[in-house]
Amino acid sequence: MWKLSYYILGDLIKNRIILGYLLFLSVVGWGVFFLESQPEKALLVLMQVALMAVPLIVMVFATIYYYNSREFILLILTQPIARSAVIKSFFAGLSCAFILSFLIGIGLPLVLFYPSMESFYLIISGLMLSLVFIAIALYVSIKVQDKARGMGVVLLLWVFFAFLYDGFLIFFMYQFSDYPIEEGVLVLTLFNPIDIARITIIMKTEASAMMGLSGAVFREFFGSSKGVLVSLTILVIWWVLPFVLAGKIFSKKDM
Amino acid sequence: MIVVSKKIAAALIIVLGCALPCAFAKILPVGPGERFAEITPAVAAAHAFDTLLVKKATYREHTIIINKPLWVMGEGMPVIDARNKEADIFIIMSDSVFIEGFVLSNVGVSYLNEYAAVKVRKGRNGVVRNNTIKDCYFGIYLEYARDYIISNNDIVAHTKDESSAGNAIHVWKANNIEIAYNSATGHRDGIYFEFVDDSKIHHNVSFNNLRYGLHFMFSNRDGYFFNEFTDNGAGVAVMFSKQIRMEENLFANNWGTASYGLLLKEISDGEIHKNRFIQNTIGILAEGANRLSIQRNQFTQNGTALDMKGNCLDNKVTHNNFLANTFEVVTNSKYNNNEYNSNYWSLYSGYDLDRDGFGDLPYRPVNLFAKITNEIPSASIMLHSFFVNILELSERIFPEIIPEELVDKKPRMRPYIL
Amino acid sequence: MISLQNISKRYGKHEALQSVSLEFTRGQSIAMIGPNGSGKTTLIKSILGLVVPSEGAILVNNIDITAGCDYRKTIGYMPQINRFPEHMKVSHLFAMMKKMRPDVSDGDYDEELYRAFEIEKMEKKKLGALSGGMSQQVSAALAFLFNPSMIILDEPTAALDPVSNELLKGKINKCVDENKLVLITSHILNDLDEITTHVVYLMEGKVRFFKAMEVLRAQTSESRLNKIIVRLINEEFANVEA
Repeated sequence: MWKLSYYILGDLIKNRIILGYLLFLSVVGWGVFFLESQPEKALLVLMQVALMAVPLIVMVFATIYYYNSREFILLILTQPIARSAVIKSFFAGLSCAFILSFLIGIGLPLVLFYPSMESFYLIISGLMLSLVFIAIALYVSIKVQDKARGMGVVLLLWVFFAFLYDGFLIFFMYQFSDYPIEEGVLVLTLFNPIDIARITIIMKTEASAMMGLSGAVFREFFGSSKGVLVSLTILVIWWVLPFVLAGKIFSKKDM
Repeated sequence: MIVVSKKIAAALIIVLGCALPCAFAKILPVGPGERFAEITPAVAAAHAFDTLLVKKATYREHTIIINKPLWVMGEGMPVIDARNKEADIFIIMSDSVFIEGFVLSNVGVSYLNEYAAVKVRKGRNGVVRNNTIKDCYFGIYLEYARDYIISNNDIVAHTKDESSAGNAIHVWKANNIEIAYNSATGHRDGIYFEFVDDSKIHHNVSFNNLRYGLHFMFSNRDGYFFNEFTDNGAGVAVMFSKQIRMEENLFANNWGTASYGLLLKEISDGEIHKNRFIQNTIGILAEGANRLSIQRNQFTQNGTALDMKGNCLDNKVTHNNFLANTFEVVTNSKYNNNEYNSNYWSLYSGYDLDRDGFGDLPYRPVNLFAKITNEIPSASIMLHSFFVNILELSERIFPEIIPEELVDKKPRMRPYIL
Repeated sequence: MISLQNISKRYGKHEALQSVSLEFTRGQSIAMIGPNGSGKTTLIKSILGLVVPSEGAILVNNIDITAGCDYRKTIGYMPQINRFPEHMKVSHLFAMMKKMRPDVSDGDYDEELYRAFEIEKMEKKKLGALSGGMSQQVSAALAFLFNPSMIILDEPTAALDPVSNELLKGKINKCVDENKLVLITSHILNDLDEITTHVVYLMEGKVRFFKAMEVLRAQTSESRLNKIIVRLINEEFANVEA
């Protein structure tokens, strides 16, 4: 299985889009520290990149790559190799390419210029989000036969997780602002991997203290080591679950 | 590090000046094997303007009432241990008393009386300096005092609970007091001022107190300079006072759900210059503050740099640096009655084509999201989310909820060097 | 070697295969023909395990193919179209395929076509830069590389140049001589004459006939495969009309 991932990774690192992704992350990641004298502000910029740009690019690319590789997958599947091994290699290859890009482009400058807890959590979150959205992209592209439709679904999902979900949450909070809804909101945020990542990072930044009294509920949860463990676990579930489902469909799918 | 200020000099002249005509001012040694084994009998035996020289030893005394001008001086930091009795150690009821060079410890907590290590009941021209005060309910307590100097005292307690904590330096109904180079920690309030006019607080450090680093009420024409207020439960509160000058102080690390670097309540005609507000939940919270000049301060990494309530009028916020704060200015009003000008805002992203050092586009430092969280506190969890960022951006371009005229027309491009 | 037992495949309402039963054995070279959408590719994909039949069983060497993927060790497959990873070099593709087949040791590769097509000359090329013909050559070479006892070729000659075409035909005949099983789909019937021993004719998901070439020739007194097919189809129409 790893042999196949190795060759897929070899193909990916020469891919123009992956190189572009690496370049983009590097320009932002390194550039922001050269332009910005305040590392805290740089961190916020990079956080937006990790929370918004990374999921989008990762999902779109993984989807395109899967659709473009369908004939190749077919060829591989005619070899005496189990389907589960093929999908795992694909996931592993894509994950490695994106993780490496993220580590070089964002991780390294963070470690060098702003070694801190929040940087650490930003890197972890960025990596987890990469995995989550590769898994979701694979699930969608395996499930949806048509390339254009698959692409549409992926973009919609991104808009949903990155934007709409938070809008609904705020709307919900407005509607029920007279009630003690902190716990409900806390549970709802766990259904969005981007929110989990964002809140985990924010809780490590100094900004968490200004969240006021109702922030105390969030801080107590996300700020504690138990909360970090829970949110990381949920992020893991967020990538394992779509991946396992993708694998299930893939193993029975007519190619 | 003895402050030789005018007041000390004046006090010296008064003491010496009165003593000299008598010409018989004596030095009474106190200590094991000396003429007086304890301080209380020595005080009783002394004449006005005598000096008690207390040798190094541990004295288990309290309620030492000084009712005549005396210089009470410890040699080699003798210890006076009240052994948690509910009582004061020194009670000063006379003018011209010096207390100097002691370790004063273990004044017990009382829920009836405010017992202190040094209590000045009434008096003027006194000095309390170079003492270490350990685990006392109140540290230095002044009432009805004038022309006093409190300097170089190190006041430490380890209280955990606010209800059983007293203040390190407590001044009530006093005039012309100088509080300098003291360190206050582990008390309820580091420095407490009520009805104290024409006084100066400078070069003190007040940290890790349960409530306020400095608690300041009904006191006019006072100034405080070069102090450091850090890690206090609620920061610093300055209330119901006029003509206060606050310069070059540091307000830092006052984190907590209801903490401020500086709380201003019903303050008018003051100057807040060249202070640094670093990592506070709220840098300055102003309620009913009028005609203040807030200039050349540095606001760094605060949750909210400046929360200016709607009842603040005619304040001038100019030439400050706002660096890396989550929210820069917050207000609960749709209108603006204060002037914001020539500040550096690190969240400003305009340009400067005419190269005059100021951005060509005006800047609205008020944050919509801060307003939302004011109304629905649980929304604070949406901080830095894409959705909120978009809202924020559109609101700044087309102000709908935030006060439209709260604008810095000359936002600085680069921070000032302060 | 390959036994299809009552295979049906439905895609929604569309029935791609209807109760197809066929037995293929060693030494046969089977041409699978039929119009577009007749189910040729579905049948091949079913044998390769790429498509899961709705009903029926497929045995390869008497083992049900749902038992595991090991049966594919004995099958070489040349797909109709091939899009390889663009940035992979030809040499890497071969290296990768060899890595994925640790069951075949170094001396056992069948590199006859690899040499005949002079693939070593394009080794440095990226797969994305190959022409259609070159891509087919690579596919063909890969199909035979691991010395399979069954070879399945899906429209193998579509993009090949005449010389390569002849080389491939020669290779196929050789395999038949070596008592291997060859399964070819093609719509270029002229190409199939020299290399087939049997013909399966599929139409609308059903097997119309599965006969040896000699039998067909005798039946229709035609020698060319395309003539034979035309004859048979005409007869069928006549039968229907009668």
